[in-house]
Amino acid sequence: MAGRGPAGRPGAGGRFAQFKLVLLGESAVGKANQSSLVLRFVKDQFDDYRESTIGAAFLTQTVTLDENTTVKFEIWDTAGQERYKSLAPMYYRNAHCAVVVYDITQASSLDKAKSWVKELQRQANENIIIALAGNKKDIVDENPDKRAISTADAEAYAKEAGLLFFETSAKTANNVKELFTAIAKKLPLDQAGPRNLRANPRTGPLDLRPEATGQQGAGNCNC
Amino acid sequence: MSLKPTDTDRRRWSSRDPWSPGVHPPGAYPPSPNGDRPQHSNLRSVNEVLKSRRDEYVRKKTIKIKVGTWNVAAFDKCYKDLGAWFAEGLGVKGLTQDLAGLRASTNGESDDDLYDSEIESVEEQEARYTKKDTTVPLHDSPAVPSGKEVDLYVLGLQEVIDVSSVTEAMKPYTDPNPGKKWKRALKKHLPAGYKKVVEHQLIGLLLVVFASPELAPQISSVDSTSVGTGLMGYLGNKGAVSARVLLGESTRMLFVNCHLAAGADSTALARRIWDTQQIVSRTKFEPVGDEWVGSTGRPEIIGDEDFAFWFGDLNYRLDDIPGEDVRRLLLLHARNEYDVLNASKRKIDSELGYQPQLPSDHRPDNHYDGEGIERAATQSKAAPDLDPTNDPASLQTTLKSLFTHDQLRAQQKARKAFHEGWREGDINFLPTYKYDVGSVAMFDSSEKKRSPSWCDRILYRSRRDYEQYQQRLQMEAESARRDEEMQRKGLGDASSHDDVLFDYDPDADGDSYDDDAEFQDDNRDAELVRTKSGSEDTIALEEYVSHQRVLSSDHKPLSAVFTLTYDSVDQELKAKVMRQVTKEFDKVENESRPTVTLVLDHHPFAASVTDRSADTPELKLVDFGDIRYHVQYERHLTIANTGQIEVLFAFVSGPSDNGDKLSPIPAWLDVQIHHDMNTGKAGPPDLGPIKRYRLLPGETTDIALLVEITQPGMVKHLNSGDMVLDNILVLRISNGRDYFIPVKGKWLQTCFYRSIDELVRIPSGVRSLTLHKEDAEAQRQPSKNILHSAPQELFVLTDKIPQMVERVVADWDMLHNQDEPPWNFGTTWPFLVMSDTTESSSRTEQLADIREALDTASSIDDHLSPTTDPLNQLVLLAETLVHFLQSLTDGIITNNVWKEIESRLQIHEKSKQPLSHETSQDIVMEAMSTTPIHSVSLTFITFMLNRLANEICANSAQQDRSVDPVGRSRSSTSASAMSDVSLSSIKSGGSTKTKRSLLSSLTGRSSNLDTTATSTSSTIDGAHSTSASKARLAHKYAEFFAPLVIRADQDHKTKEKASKAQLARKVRVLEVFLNQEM
Repeated sequence: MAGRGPAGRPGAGGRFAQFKLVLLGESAVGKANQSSLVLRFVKDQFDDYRESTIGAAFLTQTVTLDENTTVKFEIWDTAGQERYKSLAPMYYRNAHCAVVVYDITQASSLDKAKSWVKELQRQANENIIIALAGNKKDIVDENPDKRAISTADAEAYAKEAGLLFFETSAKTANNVKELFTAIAKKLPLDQAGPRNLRANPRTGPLDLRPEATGQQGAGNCNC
Repeated sequence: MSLKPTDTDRRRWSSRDPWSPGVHPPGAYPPSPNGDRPQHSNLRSVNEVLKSRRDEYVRKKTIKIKVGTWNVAAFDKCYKDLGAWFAEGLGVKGLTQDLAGLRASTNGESDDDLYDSEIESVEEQEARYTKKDTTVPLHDSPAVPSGKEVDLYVLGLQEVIDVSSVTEAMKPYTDPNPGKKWKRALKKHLPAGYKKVVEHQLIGLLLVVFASPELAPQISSVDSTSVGTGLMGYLGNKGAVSARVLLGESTRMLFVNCHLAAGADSTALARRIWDTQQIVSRTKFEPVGDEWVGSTGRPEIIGDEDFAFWFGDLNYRLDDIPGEDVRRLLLLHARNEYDVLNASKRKIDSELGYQPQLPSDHRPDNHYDGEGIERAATQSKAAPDLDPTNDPASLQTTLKSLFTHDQLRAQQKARKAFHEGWREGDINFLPTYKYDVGSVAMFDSSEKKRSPSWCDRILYRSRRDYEQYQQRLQMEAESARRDEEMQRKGLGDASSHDDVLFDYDPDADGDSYDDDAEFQDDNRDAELVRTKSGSEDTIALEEYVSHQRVLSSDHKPLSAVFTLTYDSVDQELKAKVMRQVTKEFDKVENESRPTVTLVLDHHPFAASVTDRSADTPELKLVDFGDIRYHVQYERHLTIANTGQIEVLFAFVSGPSDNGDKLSPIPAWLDVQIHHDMNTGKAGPPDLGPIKRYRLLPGETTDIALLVEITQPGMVKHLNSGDMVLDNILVLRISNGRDYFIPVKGKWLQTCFYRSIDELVRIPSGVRSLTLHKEDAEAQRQPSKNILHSAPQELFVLTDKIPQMVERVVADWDMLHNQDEPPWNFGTTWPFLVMSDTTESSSRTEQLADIREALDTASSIDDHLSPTTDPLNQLVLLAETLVHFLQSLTDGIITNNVWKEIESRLQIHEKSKQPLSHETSQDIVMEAMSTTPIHSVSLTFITFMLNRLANEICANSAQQDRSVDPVGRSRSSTSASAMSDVSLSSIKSGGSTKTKRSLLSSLTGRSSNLDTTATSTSSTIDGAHSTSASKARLAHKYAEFFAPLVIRADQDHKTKEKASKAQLARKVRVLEVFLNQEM
């Protein structure tokens, strides 16, 4: 029947989607908070954030795209050490999006990022949205000699590999919000349809954490 | 309890496509087993907070809504007029505007302005009707708000298809083409950018709603539906199409366009009431799909809205008044609007039976004032000062008097239809039906001369109207109940009078007398309405007019203009508030995550290692240090809940490369947590079926990490370097972070679970293989050259055990005097199948020490605890030997050698020839000749056993005498002599060289097994007795050692009988080497 109203117009309550995001590469849980993108992203939530033990940090951050669309990221920030590289699949296997971080002042870090991207493209979900973030832009802004990887090179690589690309500064928050907003915009909000994105009163938040069990599978899914 | 893998522990870890069907679509909400987590943001919780901060982003906004209704009676031409009257507000003005209900002079315009001289006269308009063109007058100007002045256009049309045709009515579908035509016609006349919000058609009923570009984004939750009440009660030739829209997320609007049953008789009236009830009960909308206004999940119905507009051809007629009289009366009024020469007037005159008037009668005021049979009903212009409503001759007075016959109003008063708070504007226009097509005011001049009626109506109702209606009903029910109660009690007039006094409510009283006011909207002030979602909106009816000069249908179109003030959502402000709300949620959520502190308990080997890289924080590493075979190690972690909320934790599996299920804990490690498990089913999904533990704030618990490597396969892999003791445990805090706990240990090579071939290539103790760390890979591989004639470990044990036996036996009398020695129990002592020594930590340690001596090729004596009784030391050594033999991966007589031996034995068995010991020995030695290392190893064993047998038997004979000195005295001398011989023989054989030389001597030597038959007799002399008991012991040794020494593949299909025969063969083969005199 006709008269269902303008197509694609969400209901008054808008859309609320939750996605799992994994941070990889020379990110992440650095001893200095300034180097951590995710902490920068969620920083003003915290007065003080202490990192005492190695592991994967789990944080949430919500991005409001417009008055009707809200994207909640469940962020897993994996430890950057080589030692724990083998555990990364736990976190990226069910992730909807990934941020691969490299350090624009270190020439080798882009190669590491590339290997992460390669691994993600091979092992992670085929629809995963990957963003490449060249961090420590603040250092280069202050002293251009410190730059080891040119923007053009990284951008060309990102384009070729189909990645979102930003040069960021966790220290000054430059481009950090833009990075996450760009990811949110690229997520398949419409694919799921507004109806699916709406909260069902009988259900709680989606668990997007690694290894969410199959128990909550098709049998009792209300969507 | 242990975290070793079990089937239930194992969890599927496989790559799942989060977008694939069967998995939740991103952002969807699967059922949460832990529903009470209010601090978590989701659509509902965010919306609840947003709602509470509504004031920050809503702004009052006033809009104009125009509702139009028109029964086009299937006249094809009507669509050409649609835009003109509805969108442009034309067709009202001119001479006829009084007839159309346009309120005169309210806007302060002069009469000249109102009577626009440019406007086409009715006469001309009617005259050109035949032209297939729009019928609205030329040079007209809008009489009501139009174009961009109106924000929301709501149009209800009836009979866009000929619904009187049964074929059309019976059609199972609605022909959408007429709808498109009308929609296009309207769109063409609407200002640019107006957007269609609703379109719904049911046969002849069409409802379309257009919104201005500014308003459209404020509209949501649009739903529309239809109810057929026509033929057979459900077909769509009659019925309603309805739409519900949400304005600014809070104001619910309902639009009902209906066409009720036609006819003037009482049956038709009853049917209209039924139709209305059907529409009310059967109209259902999808619930507004969000938590914003607390959706209950049930469909929305008529009555849930804040503002309702019910319009269409309601088909109500005039009761109790002859139709012809009405016609005449109204024609008289219409006629007065025209000048004498007007063709339209002449038409009306002729209809009324008047004679045409001459132009000379023309009066300057342009009003007819003739001398006809009937006096003109009104002369509005002649008496300009008289308020038309008070002028008994005015059109308004006439209309008002006629209106008292209106069926709808009567039904409302009788509470049979549209009494539930529905209101209507003042009707100051002529009845909308039925006109001659092409005429302005000519009521049905056909044969039927149908009575003019206000069939077409626009009703409206606010939430407040509906609630007041409901309150009134309640009040009435209450008072009725009281009346009844009082009557039942038989109370007198006096008390009843009191009640009346107390209950008197001037407002309510007034209501009941002023029935008309209940439905008639004579108060045009804006009315304040509190909507369902709590906003305060106001509505006011501005205009209610008929478009008298639209000539293309036998119905005149109606339009009503409302002014609505509602809470409009400022999108930017809302987004800003939303950002603040979600940020606050994130903060609360992240700060309220469960937090634990992990402490690695101090241990000399477990000192935390700091990563060399300066960029990484300190690692917590559980280092077990050196890990030896069969030794238990233990480390402890303390986990403390240092947060504010309960913690659930569990160890979870890491990723696997091939999708196999992995255990969270590696096989070499055992994790024990002595703490209450969380047994509740409703565990967090991220921990799944894995065992999880609950810690309340302030609680701590101990996590014991245990290592004891005994499993043969694991030892082999560790020895070969295929496996390393280095894993990362992942400790997951439910709804919190993951902790990585690296656990490692350094495997110390052991001689156990190796092959003889391997052992003879190892220079000096297996431990030497890992001494050079940097070259570990090369060193781990045994040398290519054979360095020993037999495993050193075997030599050490088979050399040491007889020495110990000698010592123990020699010491026994001295130390134990009268006690029965352990070797007299008829067992294979010191090799014990069942250890009779209780398990104690000291025993475990001593065994480990002995193994350590073997692995490091150091002196056994140094590793034997000096405080331990030599007897026990001996048992420990014997146990180690047995264990060593068991652990040999190839065995001393390997499977292949045994096959050969066995096949040759079987040949002899078949030939039924008795097999001499020499032949048996020859068979074995020949088979083993290809593997000299194994051959030497065998000799070590048999030599040792022979020594033991000799020693023990000699001693037993001695013991026999000492225990029973009378009966056994004769044997003592020879027994002790034998013992001496044995001892000296053994002592001389304490080197490898000696043992090797023995090999040849053994093979050639004859034995005297035939003497065993009489060995039990106590009367036999000592030598014979010793020999017999030695043979018995040898047999026992053979039985005990045969399975240890000889490896034979056990075929599962081998029958029990064959298996027994094989065992017998093994024992016999070994036995032929044992009964040796030394």
